[in-house]
Amino acid sequence: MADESVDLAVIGAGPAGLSAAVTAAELGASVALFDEQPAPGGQVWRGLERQGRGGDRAGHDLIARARSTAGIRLRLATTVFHAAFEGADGPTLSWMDAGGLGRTTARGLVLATGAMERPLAFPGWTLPGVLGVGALQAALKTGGLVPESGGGGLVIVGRGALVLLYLAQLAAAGGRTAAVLELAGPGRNLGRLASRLPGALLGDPATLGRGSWLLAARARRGVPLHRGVTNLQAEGGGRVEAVRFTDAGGERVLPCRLLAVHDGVIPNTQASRLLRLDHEWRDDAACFAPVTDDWGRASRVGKALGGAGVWVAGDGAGIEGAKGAAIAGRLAGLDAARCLGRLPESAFRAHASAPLRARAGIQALRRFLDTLDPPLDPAAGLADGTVVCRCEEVTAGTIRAAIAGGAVGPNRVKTATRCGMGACQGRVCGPILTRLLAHETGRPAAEIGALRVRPPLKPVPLGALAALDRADAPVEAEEE
Amino acid sequence: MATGRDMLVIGGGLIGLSTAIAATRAGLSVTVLEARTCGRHASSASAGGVRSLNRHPAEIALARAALGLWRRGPELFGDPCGYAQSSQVRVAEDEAAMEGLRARLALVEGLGWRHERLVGRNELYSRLPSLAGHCQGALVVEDDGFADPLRSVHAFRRTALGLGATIVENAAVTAIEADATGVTVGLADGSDRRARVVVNAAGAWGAGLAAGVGEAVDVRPVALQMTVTEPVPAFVGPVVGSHGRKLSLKQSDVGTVVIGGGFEGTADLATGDSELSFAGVARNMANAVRLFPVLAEARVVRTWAGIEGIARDDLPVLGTSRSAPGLIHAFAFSGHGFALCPLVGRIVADLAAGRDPGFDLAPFAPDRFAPGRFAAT
Amino acid sequence: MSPFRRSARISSSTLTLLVDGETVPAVDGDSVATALLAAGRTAFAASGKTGNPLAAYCLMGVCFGCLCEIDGRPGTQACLTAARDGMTVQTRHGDDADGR
Repeated sequence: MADESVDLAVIGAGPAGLSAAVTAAELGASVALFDEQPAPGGQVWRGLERQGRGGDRAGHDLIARARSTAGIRLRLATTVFHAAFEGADGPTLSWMDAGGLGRTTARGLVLATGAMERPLAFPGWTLPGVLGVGALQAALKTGGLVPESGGGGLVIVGRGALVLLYLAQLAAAGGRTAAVLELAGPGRNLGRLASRLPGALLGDPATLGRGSWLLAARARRGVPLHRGVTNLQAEGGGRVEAVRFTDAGGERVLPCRLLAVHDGVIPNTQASRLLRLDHEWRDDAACFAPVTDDWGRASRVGKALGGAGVWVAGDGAGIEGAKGAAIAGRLAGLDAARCLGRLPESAFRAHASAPLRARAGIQALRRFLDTLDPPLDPAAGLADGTVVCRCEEVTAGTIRAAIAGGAVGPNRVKTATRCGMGACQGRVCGPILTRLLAHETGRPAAEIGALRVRPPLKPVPLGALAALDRADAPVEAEEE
Repeated sequence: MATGRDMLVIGGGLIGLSTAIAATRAGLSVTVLEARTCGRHASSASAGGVRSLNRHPAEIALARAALGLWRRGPELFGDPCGYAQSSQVRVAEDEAAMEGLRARLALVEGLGWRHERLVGRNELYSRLPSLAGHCQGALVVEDDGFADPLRSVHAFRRTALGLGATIVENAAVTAIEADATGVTVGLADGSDRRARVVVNAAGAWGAGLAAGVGEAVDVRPVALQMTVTEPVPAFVGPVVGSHGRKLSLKQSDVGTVVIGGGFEGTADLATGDSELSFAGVARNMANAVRLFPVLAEARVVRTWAGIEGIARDDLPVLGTSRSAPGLIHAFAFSGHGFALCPLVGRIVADLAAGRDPGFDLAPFAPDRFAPGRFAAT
Repeated sequence: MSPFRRSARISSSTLTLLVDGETVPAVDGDSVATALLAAGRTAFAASGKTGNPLAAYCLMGVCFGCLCEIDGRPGTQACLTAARDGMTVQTRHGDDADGR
């Protein structure tokens, strides 16, 4: 079993994690940088390294620096399945890669695990062929996959800037969308969003300069747009074959072979909740996010965090896009270096001031975006028969019955219904569950909270956990 | 101050709920006061073994009697609670363990019990074909079984409510005071409640409440750790343990494998929170995969823990208080109360009514710990 | 027929995967999930509870809808696994291009 000790462990090699690792390492810290994907870049720079000269310049630079900076140990295709503070000195990570198990002790930890698509449940959403818009982006970046037109082709449903981004990327790749369904919401207007949204906001400058916006607008012009869509249902036998909905013109059915759904992105807080970091509910973004200071430093009420500290950077702390994530990573890297004794206070202030200002600007734009295009309420109009927990096939009706029977929090609902007990460990159903509980009990989401996260962070073979057992370890005596 | 209730039960776990059921059936009006949510702790930290196998001699009679109640789940609790009869098997992994099993058998038979039986390699491997090849034999009880702890909690709760009991959650009791006419309990929110009889079924927190009436018990709080895998193809029927090892392993009917055995994480009584010991999880898994190599590739999906009170002698504190009239203790089941819970409620209801419960409760006496030296924490 | 085609920009370097005993083409840079999607398989896992098809949904390691046995390792997320020439994949749901 691999065993190492470093100054700083960074989980996630997207813009934030790469930036934090490079920043800290260039100041002399030893860094272990983990990512479960086979190549660095996270989601926004997925497949970027293989593109050679194409794609985001900033991404290429940061990845190249991460690979070449002495002091960074890059661990790709590696799953961190546990992180905990076992002593006062700092966190210990347990991980697995193709070669086996590993253990890394560090003095400080940066969580840069990014975002996930906010789940949007509706009848038929579990049919094969229903994917997130972000998933289609990943398919495009990874395998150059473009939807075929036959059988109705691709229909996109939802809201959010990522929809516009994907339309532009798809058009650039020579693909077509059969229709866009804009889900109903107060003041919602995709066209107005497109015209008022500065390209830099989406953090993908290579494909989204001013020109790309024109391309997106042009691409969108050729695509039928249905507005004020309600009563969304996916239909099909064994896979999605059509989407049924209501718009201003009445009930409609469109054939499709792919249905791409999007309702914005939210921080992936699985790792930050595993560590019991303090989280808050953000009303405007309708999501939980870790509580951090200006440098991204996290806190934990009640049980102090040992070692130099824990930071959360990038979309995992709050959605700010790739450029914002890279800046947040730099700030966390600088603060970590300072806490590790690698950066004197005065130098820290000097280095941090510009990124701090830049990030403040991005955050302001993000807040504006959230008010312009607010998220949906997944619990509103959620039919009883609709699956909420995909892994265990638990419906909204079953959950409502449990709530009515006295299960007033997400963990109670989990034990009563098995929602959240499946392979995804509550990642997808958790956000829906919190909003559904808020809806049914009339209590605010902030009070309801999220599902408790326990190790392992990802399912891990039992034999691997067993292999962590050391015969000489001070486990309690096994008298019987 | 709310009065007029016959019985207040402190603690909404399986013991408290079982008490509420038996007491309401006996005609009392009962209120259960649960600090957080019913079944939150020890009741959820069980692999669900309904076990008389390898019981402490003092508990054998209770365990054997409790088996009969589990079989009547639909009648008593409106739900089978996931109960199924199934042998319990305690494997001996080497000759020394086999000697231990033989000694155990002699002890049990010497006390007049015939439910435990020693089997050799041939019978062991015909029962457990997936067992690793190094085992020597096992102790078996045929008519033990298993049930589903979470389903049991929900069923007991529904039954208690259906019988007219009141259950109040988020109602932590911090103090007990007895006088000539009844017992008053103080709650964390500053309110009081009063009844003729109060039952201390507060699990790990019961020790603090007992200390508050001058009954020091040697009970320490631990967080019992549990692990469950994804569904795997059926490979084992009985609940399996291993002599000299901490292991309790059960494959559910949906194929998931629930593994416990008493590994301890750290418990914080003040917050009700617990921290798992990852080293304990690793040792627990090592014990499991050593017996069933087929588990090596099964993925562990989840771990959890529930806070339990463990007495110095591993026996519950069960009986009338010696210092506070009207107070009955029923806590510290030391990690093996699940099988007993349908019966404990009846015993407590009997004690409350002044009836002989029909079992020797002397080994569980609240005052069995030497005073002073073993004060509860 | 697959709901996807390959855009012109992909690598010309092709690989072969063995999926449920059949050969499935892939390109350098594919994840196992995108290779299967390109081949017309949108469901390659099955619910442990009912056997209903579980679909790849997020393609980023969050939803666990893409679990397969890859090179003998069960329960592997296909979307996080780079396709390699000669890889063997065992899905739990024998979906073919016509969705049967």
